[in-house]
Amino acid sequence: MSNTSDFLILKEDHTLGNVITEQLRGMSNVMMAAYKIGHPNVPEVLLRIQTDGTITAREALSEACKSLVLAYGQLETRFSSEMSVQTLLQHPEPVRADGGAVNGTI
Amino acid sequence: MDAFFESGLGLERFFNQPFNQDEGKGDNASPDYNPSQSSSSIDRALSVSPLAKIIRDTVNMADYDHPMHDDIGLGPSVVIHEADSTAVKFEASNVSLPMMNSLRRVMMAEIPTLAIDLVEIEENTSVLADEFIAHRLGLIPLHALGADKLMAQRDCECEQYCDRCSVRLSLHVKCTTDENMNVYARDLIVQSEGDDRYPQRGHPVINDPDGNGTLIIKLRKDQEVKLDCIAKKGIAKEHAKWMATTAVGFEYDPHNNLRHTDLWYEQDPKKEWPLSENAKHEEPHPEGTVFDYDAKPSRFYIRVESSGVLPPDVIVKQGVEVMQKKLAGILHELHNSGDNGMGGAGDEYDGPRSPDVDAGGGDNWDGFQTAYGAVNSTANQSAWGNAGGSTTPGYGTSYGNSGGYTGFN
Ligand SMILES: [Zn+2]
Repeated sequence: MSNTSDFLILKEDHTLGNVITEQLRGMSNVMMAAYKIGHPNVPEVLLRIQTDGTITAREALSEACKSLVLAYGQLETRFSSEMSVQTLLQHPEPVRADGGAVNGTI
Repeated sequence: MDAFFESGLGLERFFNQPFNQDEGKGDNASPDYNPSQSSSSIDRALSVSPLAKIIRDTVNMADYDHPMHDDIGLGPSVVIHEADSTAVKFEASNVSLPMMNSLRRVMMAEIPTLAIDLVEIEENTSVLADEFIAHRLGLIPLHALGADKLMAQRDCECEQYCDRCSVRLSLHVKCTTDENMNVYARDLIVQSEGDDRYPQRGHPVINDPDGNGTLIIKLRKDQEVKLDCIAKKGIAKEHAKWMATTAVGFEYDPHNNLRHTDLWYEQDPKKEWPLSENAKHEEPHPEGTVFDYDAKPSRFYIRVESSGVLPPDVIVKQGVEVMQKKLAGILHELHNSGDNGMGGAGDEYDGPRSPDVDAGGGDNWDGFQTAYGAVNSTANQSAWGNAGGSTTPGYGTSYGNSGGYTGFN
């Protein structure tokens, strides 16, 4: 099947396997996406992607990774801006601006 | 008499460490932690390393700057409920469960921090054995702000360790009084030349009112301990002493509307299971609601508690960064592997495909692959060329290049 590919991701685990497959499953042109970790002591993830043929599995994976980078990026942006509001509320003057956590208060 | 001990009961270097690629080299990353700074995170995650440049080329950055993604309602949003110096509690909505779970896993296991990893004992007349002390030293929390900018020791050019890949601390104490003497983490003296941007990096974390820090050992009269410690960058996946977090609270669907959990009860689960404090943010489904089998959780309540080595919000940010780098590594591999013989015509191909498809492959994967190093080119590998997969880059050194990846470090 030319619309199906296996990818072997070395030195990764469920952290990456799960999030990528779930992202792929949400894509309209992906028919199947799954991963397995054959053995808990072997740090590799086998990822299989089957598309409907309009894009390649490889393109699908690339797309999934891009949207995840994007989503995480937005999560971080939102977190950071919320955090700066929070810090401002608590300490009208920035406390850690110098990065120097003084001993005792990080 | 000198003795060398690996401190901590770590598995050997079973896991290669996925560290940042920008370590050590003159980095244009933010000079230091600044809570009020909120640069575009993708820019930041992708701009600081050589990896970044590659990603920048391969990934059309315009995609990321698409105005659509700035609209609330599309993409994740965050509300912070509580924040102090040790913990941050926030709510993330419009995110998927796997995304948040991966973030949780990464915050617990893959944030680079510093911990003593090698102890050279010169003198030890205390009651504790050398390796016992070495283990205790390994567990002492050290300030880790800027640890991600340190080289991974195994990637460093130096023979054993140097200031670019480690922080050296020394301890020399002798009890001269009749009263027993306590040796604390504050007695550890940082010997390495520090980095001005991270003045505290490698210093023991001291939070108690007396300013002592962790108790390391007690000495009787005339007992002496003299040793040097090498603190290295590491992640908790290798040894828990590198954990940046203590507890990470993670909850969604506090009313169990999605029925992801089956509440055990005697008479009435509603009476027997007190609601969590997050329950106030959501409504329970009214009695008699038709169950939606397709419903997915999208609101998550997370509480990140720092072990003291990093501010909690930095842990969250670095968690995101680690995830982005993992994903970027795959993207990099996908975009590059076309050149290094990923594909070509596979025997199993019979259907149409576009000329640039080369990652496609046999659907009967049964070749055994070693965890490290290149893939055994045995059964059914032809369709994928070498490796047949994405190698996550950047962790390669101890096991050699894996899967055709040529490395950026
Ligand atoms: Zn070095």
